[in-house]
Amino acid sequence: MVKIEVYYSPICPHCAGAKKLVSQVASRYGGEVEVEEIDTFTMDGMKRGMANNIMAVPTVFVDGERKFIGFPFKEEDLLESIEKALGR
Amino acid sequence: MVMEIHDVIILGGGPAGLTAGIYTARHGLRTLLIERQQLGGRAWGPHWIENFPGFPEGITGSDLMDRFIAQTRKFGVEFKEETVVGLKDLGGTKIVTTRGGFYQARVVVITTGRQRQKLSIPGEEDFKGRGVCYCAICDGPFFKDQVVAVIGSGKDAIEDAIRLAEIASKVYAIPGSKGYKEGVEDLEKLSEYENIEVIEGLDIESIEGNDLVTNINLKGETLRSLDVSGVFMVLDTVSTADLMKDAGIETDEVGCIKVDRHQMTNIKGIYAAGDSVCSGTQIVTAAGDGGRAALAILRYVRSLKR
Repeated sequence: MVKIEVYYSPICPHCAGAKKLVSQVASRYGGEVEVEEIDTFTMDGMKRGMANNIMAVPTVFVDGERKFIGFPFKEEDLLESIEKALGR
Repeated sequence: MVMEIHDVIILGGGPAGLTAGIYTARHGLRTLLIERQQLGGRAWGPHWIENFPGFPEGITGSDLMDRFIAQTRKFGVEFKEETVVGLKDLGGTKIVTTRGGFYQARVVVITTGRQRQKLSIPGEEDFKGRGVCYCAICDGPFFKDQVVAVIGSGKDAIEDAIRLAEIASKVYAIPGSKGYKEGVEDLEKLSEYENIEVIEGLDIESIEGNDLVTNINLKGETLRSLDVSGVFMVLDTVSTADLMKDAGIETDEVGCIKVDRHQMTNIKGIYAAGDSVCSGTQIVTAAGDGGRAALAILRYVRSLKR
């Protein structure tokens, strides 16, 4: 199981694209990939973001490792990160 | 291999491109729209739009663009999500090259808009997302009660400095050694904020820090270092500038595509609209450009088919 965390903000014009791409790619893996979207506009989300030194959204972590900051990023790069995390 | 010929290929799916597509497809021209990212372009987003005619209560950018997109689909515009890497004029037809293939059309409309430019100064890439930001509306809240710098000399830089002044403890507004662009809107508003300091005559030279940004270095006739936690890079450039150059499309000194009053570039059959021609960075002006280009295209394509 690989966990992807997407830190986003509802007022960020680039975040929707990042969330959509992550969701689409993750859905191809069925239950192997879990996606958590963290809204940094909530108090809890902001605290969690600050604790992880998030200073920009969207930021995407794959299995705890910061992989992508900003959007767009390449689908193939996301796939590669997931495949690597799955040990393939 | 037989390459299908479209009547119109639109590069870019913002308000200008979508409007052009609505007009050309509605009039029966076979229209392909190629967009590499989000349809709706920079207009798409949760920001509130109060000045688009017909919506007296206001509407979000996403909702407005979703309406544009739905209307474009209704008239049968074909969409491709690809990145354009080449444009060539063969006279009566144009060849558009993407990472995925080739497309041919009688007319091309460039509506690729503007994008945030990187300065590629030392530290910029290293601290991306660790203090270096390109979107104040997205990342501003992370800098509550901190000191930030806004780099840029245009309208967006002024807007972002004001937006950040509501959040940060202090904002350094740094337009660069050439100062703010002549006639830029809302420049006088900067002085209304006690926590905004405009620093003129100096260019940013580097960004430094440890794990996160700690300071920036400025250079001009003097040197100056400023302690900041955030650096917002607000420098715009016309997208696909290399593409224009390779295709022989004339631009002005800041990269805006030159067009005539029908939105046609210096190359017959290639039109441009919206932020690509720097017509005002407003949805309504971009849509107007797109419509004007489409009307000229209808006449042009009919003349080719006679």
